[in-house]
Amino acid sequence: MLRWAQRTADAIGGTLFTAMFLVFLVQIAARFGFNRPLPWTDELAVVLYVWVILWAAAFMVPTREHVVFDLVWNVASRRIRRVMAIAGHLLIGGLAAWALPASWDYVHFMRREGTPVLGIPFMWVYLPFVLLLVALVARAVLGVRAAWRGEGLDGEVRG
Amino acid sequence: MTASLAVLLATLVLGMLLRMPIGFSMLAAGIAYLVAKGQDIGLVAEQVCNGLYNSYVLLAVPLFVLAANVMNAGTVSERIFDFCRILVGRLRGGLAQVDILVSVIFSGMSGSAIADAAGPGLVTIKQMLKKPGYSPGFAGAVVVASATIGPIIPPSIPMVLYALVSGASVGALFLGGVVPGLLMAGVLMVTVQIIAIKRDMPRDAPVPLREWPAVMFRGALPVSLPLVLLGGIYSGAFTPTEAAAVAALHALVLAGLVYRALTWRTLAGVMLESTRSSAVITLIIAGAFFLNYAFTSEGVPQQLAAAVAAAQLTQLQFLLLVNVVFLVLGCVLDTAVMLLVFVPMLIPTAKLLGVDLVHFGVVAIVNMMIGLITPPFGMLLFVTNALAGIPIRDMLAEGWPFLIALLLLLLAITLFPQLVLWLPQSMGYGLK
Repeated sequence: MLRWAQRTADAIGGTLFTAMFLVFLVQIAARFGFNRPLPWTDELAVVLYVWVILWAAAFMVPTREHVVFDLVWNVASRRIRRVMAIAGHLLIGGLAAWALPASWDYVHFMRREGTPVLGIPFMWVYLPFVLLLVALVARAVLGVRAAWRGEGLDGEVRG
Repeated sequence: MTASLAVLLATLVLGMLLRMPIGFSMLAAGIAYLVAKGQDIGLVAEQVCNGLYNSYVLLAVPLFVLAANVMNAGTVSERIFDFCRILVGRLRGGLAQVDILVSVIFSGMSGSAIADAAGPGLVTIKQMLKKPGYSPGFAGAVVVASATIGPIIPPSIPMVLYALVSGASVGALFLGGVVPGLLMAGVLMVTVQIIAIKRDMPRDAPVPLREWPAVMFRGALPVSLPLVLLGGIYSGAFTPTEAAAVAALHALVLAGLVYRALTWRTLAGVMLESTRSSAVITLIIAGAFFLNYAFTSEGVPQQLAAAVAAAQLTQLQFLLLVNVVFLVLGCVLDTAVMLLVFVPMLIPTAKLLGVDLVHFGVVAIVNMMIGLITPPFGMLLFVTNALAGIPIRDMLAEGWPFLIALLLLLLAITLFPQLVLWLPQSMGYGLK
């Protein structure tokens, strides 16, 4: 189930990324090949970009691929690491949960305004930010549960 | 410092110390700041979303990432490697010299030091380890040192980020990196030469003459791209973002059609990999959008500028001080964090003192690249360690001559702005 969900999330993100690249190629072809710049390509590329980044950050990047500062972690004992992991997840997940209602209010409010050319309501453009917060809360819950069970505390020791 | 600013910094530092992803820690710090200040928490969503939506130039980042990943998957590095063997392989310590030259050529297509170490760097490390005379530590040290050239010779992801926060022209920054980047290669090659003579290191076997035309042809194709890119951006024919798309397309055509080294399967993998690494970088950028909003509304950059003005620093004293601070910060912080959080705070001061923003940017970025090879937090050391399995302490033991060479070069471009500004100015930058 989880693997299937991960594959779907990857497929969506990869497709959005590829679409963004193709939109650029269309734009360049239109401008240089046919000498007729298109009005909508820049805008669509930016909308796809916002989605790609926030979607991938929320659902595609595993924790170990993020940039982390692990000097303390590497010298800490297993017991300390467990406390660190639980505290860290509570901090990030808690604040993300706190920000959820207000963020949704803002994004929902933006439905009144559309993008200049395509007229896509900004609610749909900015929606993945709310998804990112939801993912942060979910990650925190899973992270606390794993740490409680003593999983994922080994970490890669570098050097 | 106000209480809410203290809450922001405390949350950020705590999140980082607890080994939470830096981008997430920055977002959390922003939320904590608004809670402490009693402001609308929706401001985080607004700043981050608008920041992403309105920074068109940022789209260059995923496209440059894609270009570099395609080249690495499509054996472009191997072709450049063969090409460089003909040029400098016969020198003493030839493979190390080849590595530096490969880095220079690869930098002309990629904007990331990490991609440079992971692609061509790994190719040359494997070759060096097959030969007696190259210790693993030395091989790793040469590769990490030469990978720092990647973002100095255009195109460059850090320069795009710097342009975003400083308002300096991407084209002028790119041109400004050319001479310093070539000089970096120069000082590293001299360092290799000195070590090679001292240790009597082997020369590389000659490439048979009849293979030369084919190797030269395949290797020369990638070299054509930087000229097209720079010409295109600088003449105004395309934006830096479009240039990045052209670079990715060029890499796809080379790897897929010319070298026939890409399958649909690898291509799909490359797309996913590029999506993920773009998100990792951009998440930090998104976090920085909010932190900068908070710092600006607290008046931090202005206070800093006032403090520097009161201290009556000269331009040179300011630049030297910034260099020392960044070198120290670079040991423990990620490049994107320094570039997007600390540099914007210094821009008002730099302007006040009349420091040229292109010069300032190139100096700051060279400085941060040195930060990538200084422990304990040196991304290039981590990447090379992970990919080639060379212990970090061995690389450090062999790496100090290269570090000193790069530091001397940093001092030179700090003292002589013309090293940076000569090329952009001769192309018309700053002459109105």
